[in-house]
Parts: sequence; structure tokens; C-alpha cells
Amino acid sequence: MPHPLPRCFGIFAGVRGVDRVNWHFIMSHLPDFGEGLKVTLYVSLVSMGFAFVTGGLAGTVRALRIPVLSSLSGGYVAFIRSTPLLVQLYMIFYGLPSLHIVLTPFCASVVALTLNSGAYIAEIVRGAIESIQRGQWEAAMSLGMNRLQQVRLVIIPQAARNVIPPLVGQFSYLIKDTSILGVVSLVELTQVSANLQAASFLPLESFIPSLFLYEVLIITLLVIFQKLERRFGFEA
Amino acid sequence: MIELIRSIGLTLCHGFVYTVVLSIISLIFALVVGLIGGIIRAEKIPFLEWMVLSYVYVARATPFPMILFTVYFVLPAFGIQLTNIQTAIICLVFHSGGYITEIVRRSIQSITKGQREAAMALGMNSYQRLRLVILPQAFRVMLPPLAGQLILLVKDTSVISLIGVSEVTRVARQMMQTIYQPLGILALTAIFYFVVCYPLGLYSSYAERRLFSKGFGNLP
Repeated sequence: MPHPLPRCFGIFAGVRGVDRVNWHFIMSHLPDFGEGLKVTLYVSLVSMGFAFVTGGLAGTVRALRIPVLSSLSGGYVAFIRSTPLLVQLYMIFYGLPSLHIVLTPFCASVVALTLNSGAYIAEIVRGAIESIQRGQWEAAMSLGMNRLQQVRLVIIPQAARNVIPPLVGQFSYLIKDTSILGVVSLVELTQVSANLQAASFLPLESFIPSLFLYEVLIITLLVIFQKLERRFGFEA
Repeated sequence: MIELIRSIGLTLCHGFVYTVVLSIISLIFALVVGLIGGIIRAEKIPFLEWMVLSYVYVARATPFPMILFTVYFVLPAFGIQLTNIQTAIICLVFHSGGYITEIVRRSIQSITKGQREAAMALGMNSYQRLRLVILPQAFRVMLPPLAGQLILLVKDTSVISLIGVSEVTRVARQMMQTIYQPLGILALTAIFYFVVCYPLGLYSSYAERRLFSKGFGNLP
């Protein structure tokens, strides 16, 4: 059954394969891809929120060298950064039930992504705090501020500036990481494609829209990241 | 109990050999891709530069599982039959190559202009300049981020289990279905990755600190 090519693809009309793409299939399944994109974005945003809190705490604790908490946070960061997300995800989704903690796919995904991104954000936050010169601490101390005031009024406002660009970068990693969540049967964008592929045996038509959506999403973030880095970047 | 842990560990070991071999092979190819791409980008070779740039963007913007599934399902539809391992290596190289291209480019660009001018003043042509002056210095700057990239590569190999290459994660997943000790098996699996990735991470930050102290100010 021939399918007419949308007019804008006319330039490809002679290219082998492209004019055989089943555009009708793509058009009729656009709502599915929309659903998948929604799930992807939702999981990413929720996880990013939690990861920011986790990473902020873990990073601050480490930068301020608070006795026991600091080494706990160090161990957490080392473990997460040295093991793959897939194994962490399996641990949470398949491992925790043996400790009688059963999570839904969505919860497990959010927990895994939060813990994973949290560790990277902790390193970002730690780096940003440690990059603040010692003079700033001393100045705050000489103004008679206590430790909390020093951190809250002097250090954090300056560190926040350095945190913004790498956070955007981390968010783009997080979105890419969501693409693995199909293994715990969360139907996000990649899984939508995989399911459609399995049902229709039209691989190209199933994967192209998702690929396109990911490219647009992440390249936008990468461009924002570069703009921010140029604007807020560390002065070397 | 000890017996069980021993047998699980041994089985995982077999899978882990796959993980390590796949990582090394992919790293070698990705280095070749990255070196070529990075030099093209840094030397601003007209038309090729744009091709490499778009490759870098696509490689970095596509989630790795997405690349994997696309290659795994789409290529056979066009009559290109690949084994699982070939697919895995192609995808790992495609993905890491993009990142390594950027690492190489930034390392080359971090070498000060004076070095380039000095090489020119000695009458070197652009090939000699690159091979004898720029690259040897750039390699030292490259090492810390490359070690970081290798960690990501090793971790990405876990995703390969989804297309049925029996590396350590897949072996663990299969064992979980026969021995109902999911947490223990997964913890052992995590230890395997940790043993490889953690020292690499330590090396990466150590090498970076050493570079800083040696006065390579404008690091990538």
C-alpha cells in the first residue's frame, strides 16, 4: 500500500528507503509518542527536583567536612558513580522486595534516578563550594557570623552561580538516563518505540519519532548549557 | 552459603570478562574515531568540520539505549545483518566517539598558541606540527577526561545486556531467575563494576590535580 510522502520530504523522493517510509503509521501513532514524551519529562522533572535536594545536602555536607556525614556522603557518591544505573535500578526494583520494600515502576524509577543524579549533583555542589576563596570565609568570620550564617549568606549565594551551568548539563544526562526505564516496565519514550516496534515490525517508523524528540529536547538543553557556561562560567 | 557466593561469583566472573573485553575493544575504536574527529574539529578543516560537529551533537544527544535499539532493529530491516556483539560495539563506539571527539578537540585547543607558532617558525608543515608538537602535549591534558569517559563506557556496557549479550549484568539477571537472591547477586555485580570504575575515577582526579599543579592552566 503506497503512502503519500508529506510535501516537505519531497527532496528525499528518490532516496532509497525514505520514500518507502510508512508516514501514515507515524502520523497515526503520534499521540502514543506524545504520551511517552510526557512520561519521560514527568519522571525527569520529579527526579531532578529530588536529586537537587539530595545532591545539595550530600555536596554541602562534604564540602563543609562535617565529621561522620561527610564520609557517608563520600561513600554514597563513590558507589553511585562507579556502578551502572541499570544495576542500581535492578537493585531497587528487584532487590528491595526481598527486604519487603515493594515499589511501583514509577517510584522505583524516581528513586533510582534521584539517587543516581544526586551523586553527580553532590560533586557539582561540592566543587562549587570548594571553589569559593578562603578569603570569603575569613571575611564572613570577621563580621562575626556564625557557621550557619557564613554558609547561608556568603558562601551559598556565590556558589549557586557556579552550579547553574553544570546542573543544566546534569539534567540533560538525567533525561537521557530515563531512556533505560523500560526495563522496569515504565512506558516512557524509548519503551513506546520498542513496544510499537514489537507490535508492528516497522522499526524505522517506530524509532524515528522518538529519536527526533530526544534530539530536539537534548540539543536544546546542550545549547542552553553552552550559553549559560559562557555567561556564568568559571573565570580562569 | 560460602559455596553459593563462590559459585555466583564465578559465574559473574565469566560475564565480567565479556564486559571488560567489550569495553576495551570499544575504547580502542572510539579513540580512533575521537582522535580523527577531534583533529578535524580543532584544525577547522572546512566541510568535514561541520559533519563532525553534527555527529558530535547527535551522538551526545541520543540516549544510549535509544541508539542501541535503533541499530539493533532498524539495520536488519535494511538488510544489514549484524551479530549482537557487533551491534554492541558499533553503538558503544558511536556513543563514546562523540564524547571523545570533544575531549580531543578541547585538549588540542588548550595547547597555547605559542607552541603552534613556534612549530611554524621551525618550518614544520601542519602534519609535523600536529604529530611532533601539539599532540604529545595534548595527550597529557586528555588523560584525566579520557579516564572519566572510560568509566562511562564501562557503565554503558551494562545496557548492552538488553539486546542479549551475556555480559555481567545479563548474567546476573538470568541468575536472579534461578536463585532467588536478587539483592545479593546484584550487590556482587555492583562490586565487579566498582572494582574497575572506582580506581579509574581516583586516577582521573589524581591526574587532573597533577596537571593543574604543573601549570596547564586552561584545562578542558
